[in-house]
Amino acid sequence: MTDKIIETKKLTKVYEESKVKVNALRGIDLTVKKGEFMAIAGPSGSGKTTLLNIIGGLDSPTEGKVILGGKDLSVLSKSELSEMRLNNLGFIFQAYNLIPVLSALENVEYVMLLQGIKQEERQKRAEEILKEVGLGDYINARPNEMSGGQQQRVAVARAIVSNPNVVLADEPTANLDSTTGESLLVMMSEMNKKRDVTFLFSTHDKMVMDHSERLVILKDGEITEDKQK
Amino acid sequence: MKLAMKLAWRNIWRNKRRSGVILTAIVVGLLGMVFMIAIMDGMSSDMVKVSIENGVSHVQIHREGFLENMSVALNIRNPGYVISKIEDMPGLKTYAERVKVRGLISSPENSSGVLIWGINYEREPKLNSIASYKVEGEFLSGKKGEIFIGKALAKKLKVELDDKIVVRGQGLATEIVSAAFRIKGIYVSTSPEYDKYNIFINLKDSQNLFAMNDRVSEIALMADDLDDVDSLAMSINNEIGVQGLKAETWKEIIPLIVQMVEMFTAFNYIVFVIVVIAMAFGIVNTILMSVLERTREIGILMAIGTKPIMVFGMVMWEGFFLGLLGLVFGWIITIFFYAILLKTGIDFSIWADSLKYMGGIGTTIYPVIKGYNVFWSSFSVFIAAVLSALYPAIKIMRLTPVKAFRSV
Ligand SMILES: Nc1ncnc2c1ncn2[C@@H]1O[C@H](COP(=O)(O)OP(=O)(O)OP(=O)(O)O)[C@@H](O)[C@H]1O
Ligand SMILES: [Mg+2]
Repeated sequence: MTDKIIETKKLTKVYEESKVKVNALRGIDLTVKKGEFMAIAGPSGSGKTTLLNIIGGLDSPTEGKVILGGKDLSVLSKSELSEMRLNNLGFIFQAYNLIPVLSALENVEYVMLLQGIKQEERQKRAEEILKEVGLGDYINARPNEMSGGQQQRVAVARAIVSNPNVVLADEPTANLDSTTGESLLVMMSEMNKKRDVTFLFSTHDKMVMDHSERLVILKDGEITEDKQK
Repeated sequence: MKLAMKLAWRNIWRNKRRSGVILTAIVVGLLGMVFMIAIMDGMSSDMVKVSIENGVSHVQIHREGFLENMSVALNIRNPGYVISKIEDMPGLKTYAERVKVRGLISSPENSSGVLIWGINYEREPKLNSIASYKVEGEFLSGKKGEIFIGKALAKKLKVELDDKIVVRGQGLATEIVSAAFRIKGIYVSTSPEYDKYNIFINLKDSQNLFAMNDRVSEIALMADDLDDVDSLAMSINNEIGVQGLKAETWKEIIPLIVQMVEMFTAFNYIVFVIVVIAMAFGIVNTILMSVLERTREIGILMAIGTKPIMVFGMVMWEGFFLGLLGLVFGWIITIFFYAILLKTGIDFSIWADSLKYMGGIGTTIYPVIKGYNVFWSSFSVFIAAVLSALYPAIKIMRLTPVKAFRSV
């Protein structure tokens, strides 16, 4: 059973912040195996972001639970969740992923710094991975000196550099043109093969869905389709 | 920790205009606070200095009780003996013996209540500025019948140089005595009130007039240093206390001025507190704005594994660095102005009338930056900066990544 990396059990999420109750998730049962490269698609408001956030421990479910790498997230404290994210997860968001005051190299190093990895090793690994994502010449560039696509590559590099179990990517290509988006996706797919890292992304993008090996469709907070390709 | 510091340091340089606003607030606050207090301290030390130099001196020896009513009967019977006892004391710079009697001065036109000083014309100028205030004629030269009076008094009496005036007072033999004097010189000190009240004649003349023989009312002393005063007074009291004589320091002689100085100092501590509060309120908004603007970024920091306490630390370090930079710039500018003002002083002549009541200090005040001012001003500014980072730091620390993303 060790190859079950993510398991959600009857996840529901109700937002009650405003007067209207929003049932963002209605009983999601989802199992992700180690090494999968899968997409969650669905119309806007269907609950994709909510699901990814809860799986990543950024938000808590109203009911149900998330088991990540065998651990039940609901029993973890705020700072244990930070620790868990640091050591098990990589995040890529739609845009503005990077810390503006840090260079590409420093952004990639950041997570390793928090993990307490030594300077030399940090630097070596960060440089390697930046070369791998094709940014060997941008090591010292600040985010505002890079294009959107380049920034997303740095984000991928940062997400992957500490060898997490799972990378969660919420619409990583939404702000990119299709060519740039596709090359980013190809790159992530290579990472997935080479390093055996699980990728879970949400998307609107037909192209992303085509590249994924498994596609889960979400509608009104429920899974309506789950197809393996 | 190091990482939070590094991020904080870079963060304060990213919005230069905003950091500039905060730094300017800190610099102006520091400058204002330091100089406000330095001026108060300058006034305090001027007040003390002027009083000491206008005859109070560092220490006075009297018969016990003399200061209360200045009675001629309370005198030093054997000044020569007292002087021989104190002359070689360590810390003593100079001394002068005096007769002091309350009396009346009259011209054909007018008369006025005065304090008559019988002084040793050679020794007195060594511890009293009076001779240097001369504006007409000459200071006393030891010849019989000379008198040195203030300009304001001369005006009141409608007399001029070389005019004759009559001095009257209570002699030792309980009868009112009087004698005529010729105006040898006229002075203008720092205070017209002083000039109206204090007249100077030769010691010998005063002793003759009041039938005191060789007796004097007081012996005034200067110590080598203001810090030596207390110990000097103590050793004198050990020597001569048994004779019913008492050495009193300037603090005992002019308690009102001492109180005023203490009040100024207490006020200064209130200034520190007010500035901390005002400055913190001024800065907190700007820091809060700069932090809230970065909400998304901080959400990302948290999402990828940064603990809330480190986010808190980062914002606190920003306050720390702003405070530190503010202090560095602030002191550079403060020292620059101090160097100028030490030479030029600050002209307060528009308030000359009020200053008149402050122990006769001049209208140009030289600020004095004392150690406690340096310490407490720096401390206040620093605390204000760190304090104003506290609220934003707590606020942002409580944020969850999801809330952070949604807030943009
Ligand atoms: N913090 C919140 N408070 C209230 N309602 C929320 C909150 N977050 C999400 N929702 C609501 O929950 C539902 C699901 O939102 P979610 O962001 O997960 O959708 P999504 O599939 O990611 O949409 P999109 O494709 O537009 O990003 C929506 O109706 C949304 O309005
Ligand atoms: Mg979404």
